[in-house]
Amino acid sequence: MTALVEISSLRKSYWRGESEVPVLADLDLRVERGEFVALMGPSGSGKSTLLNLIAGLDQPTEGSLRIAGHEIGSLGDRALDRWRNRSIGFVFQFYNLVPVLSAFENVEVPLLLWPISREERTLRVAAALRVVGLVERMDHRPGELSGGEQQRVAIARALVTDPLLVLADEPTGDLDERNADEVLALMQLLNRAGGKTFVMVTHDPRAAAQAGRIVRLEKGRLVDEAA
Amino acid sequence: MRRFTSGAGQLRMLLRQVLRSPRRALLTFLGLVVAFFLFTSLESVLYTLEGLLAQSASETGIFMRPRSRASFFRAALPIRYVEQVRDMDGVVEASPARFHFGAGVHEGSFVAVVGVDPPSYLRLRALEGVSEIEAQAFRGDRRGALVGARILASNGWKVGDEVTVRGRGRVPDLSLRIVGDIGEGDRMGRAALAHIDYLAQVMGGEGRAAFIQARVAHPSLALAIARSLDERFANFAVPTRTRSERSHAAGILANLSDVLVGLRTIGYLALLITVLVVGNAVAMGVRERTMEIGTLRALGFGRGRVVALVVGEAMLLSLAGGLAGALGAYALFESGWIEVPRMTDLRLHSDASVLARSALLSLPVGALAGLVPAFSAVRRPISEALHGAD
Repeated sequence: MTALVEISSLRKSYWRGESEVPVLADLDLRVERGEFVALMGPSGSGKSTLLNLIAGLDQPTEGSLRIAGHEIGSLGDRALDRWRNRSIGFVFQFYNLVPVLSAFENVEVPLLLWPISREERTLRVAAALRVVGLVERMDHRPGELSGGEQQRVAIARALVTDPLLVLADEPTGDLDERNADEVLALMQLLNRAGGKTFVMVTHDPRAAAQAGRIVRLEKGRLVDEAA
Repeated sequence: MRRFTSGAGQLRMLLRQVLRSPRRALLTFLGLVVAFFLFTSLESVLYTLEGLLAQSASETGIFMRPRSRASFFRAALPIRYVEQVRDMDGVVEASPARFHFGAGVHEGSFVAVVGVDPPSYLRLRALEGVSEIEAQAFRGDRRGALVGARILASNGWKVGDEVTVRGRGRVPDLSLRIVGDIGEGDRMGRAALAHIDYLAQVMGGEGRAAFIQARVAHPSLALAIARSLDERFANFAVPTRTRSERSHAAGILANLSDVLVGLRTIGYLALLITVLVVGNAVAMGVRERTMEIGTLRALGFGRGRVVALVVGEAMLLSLAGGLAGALGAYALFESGWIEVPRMTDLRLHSDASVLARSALLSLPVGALAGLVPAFSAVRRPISEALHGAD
């Protein structure tokens, strides 16, 4: 496997008035292509901050963060927007779907920025919805879908651009056990059969157990890695 | 072939967002309708007033009145001045005039009678719709009157009728015999013409006029002749103030300017309030969608695109409300139902240019209203917005 995410000596701190509050300190991490990595740790350990940095939603204070060979910190705003649109898929705890759009239209959103024809967009969206098993429900709005179905729509939205990396922030945090298992099974299938690279933040040991590798953070430092 | 990003898809998203909260959208829409109705109505009133003044002014006409403004409606100008005006080089014709203001058949109606010297007046200007037989009858009948078509219609009068224009206050009644009608399109179509010496007999003040109108041979002469006339009468008992009809109309406009500025200010204030109302509605919508906007940004929608979506929402709503309000006012004014009280038949009307200006103004109103919420939406860090923190 080759490294998709290469993080070295990464430091992130915030300023609270005059005092600097470190969140991540001297962090080194590699994620290989095709890996499924779970980031675990107590609240405030810095796992969500790390996910935001990998996504290009925040800038590191120091250190290097390379994804597929690109130094993320050196990209300008526009380039970063474009890079995120093309390279990153997001799955959020609360699904973050647009309530006034149907499942189909929600999945279509990232492709609205692509210079492709409507037909091509439709094919891609239909394919993504087929993967998550929701073709029959594509005209339903989020309010008409169960929590598990909404998260599957969000996964379809994350996959529709065929991104290098899917970042999932507590993807099962708002689901009951049965729906959580379905979503995790789907992510595992996409990783194993589809070769998708996943980095997932979770508190749930059952969810983390589905990952190929578990990385533990504590007080902004990497304390343990387990396969 | 180069393909562009999907504008239709983003427009669909924008439309859905506008209708996201139907009650809020409806209330904002109604606010916009009322504001643009008011604005277009005020602009239509201004359009009518400016049009009337422009229509009543001739390029070769000059207009002489006593220098003292208080004497304008009171007949104070000696009629003998007319001969001297007529004798001035470059003057083609001159004619005196005075007023009688009264009521027609209906209580509260208004009839303006202008007393003129028929022979000189009819040489001074042709009246639309008045035949030579009617003109002759007018010249030959001391109690004869040419009455505007609109006054005839509103009072149910017709040619041949003997009618009474009831005086107001100390102004006596005026009995007239209608010998002809003046066409609706004529600037005198909203007034009646009678003999000035008959008015003097009824009202008193013989040998006096409220003003003298004259026609000069060429528009370029108007200013110089007006100045010479005022110089000639400067040391007379009643000094004069003479202006071209154009500048007289402009002067009336200037006198009205405080009113006009006031009306315009009210109109623009209504729009300013609308900017705040729409801005507040859009800001509420944006606050509720903090997480959604964060998600769009995470998915690659840049700041500019998000600003365009939010501003677009405000502009779309504003255009819909603006168009509806402006169309409502335009339809009302063009229907001819709006009359100025006590001004007989002065009908306020509008114009397609007024409608277009008002409707187009809704776009900057929407853009202004959307800008502040739009920029506040993209200023928040994406990672914060994703958690929906307000």
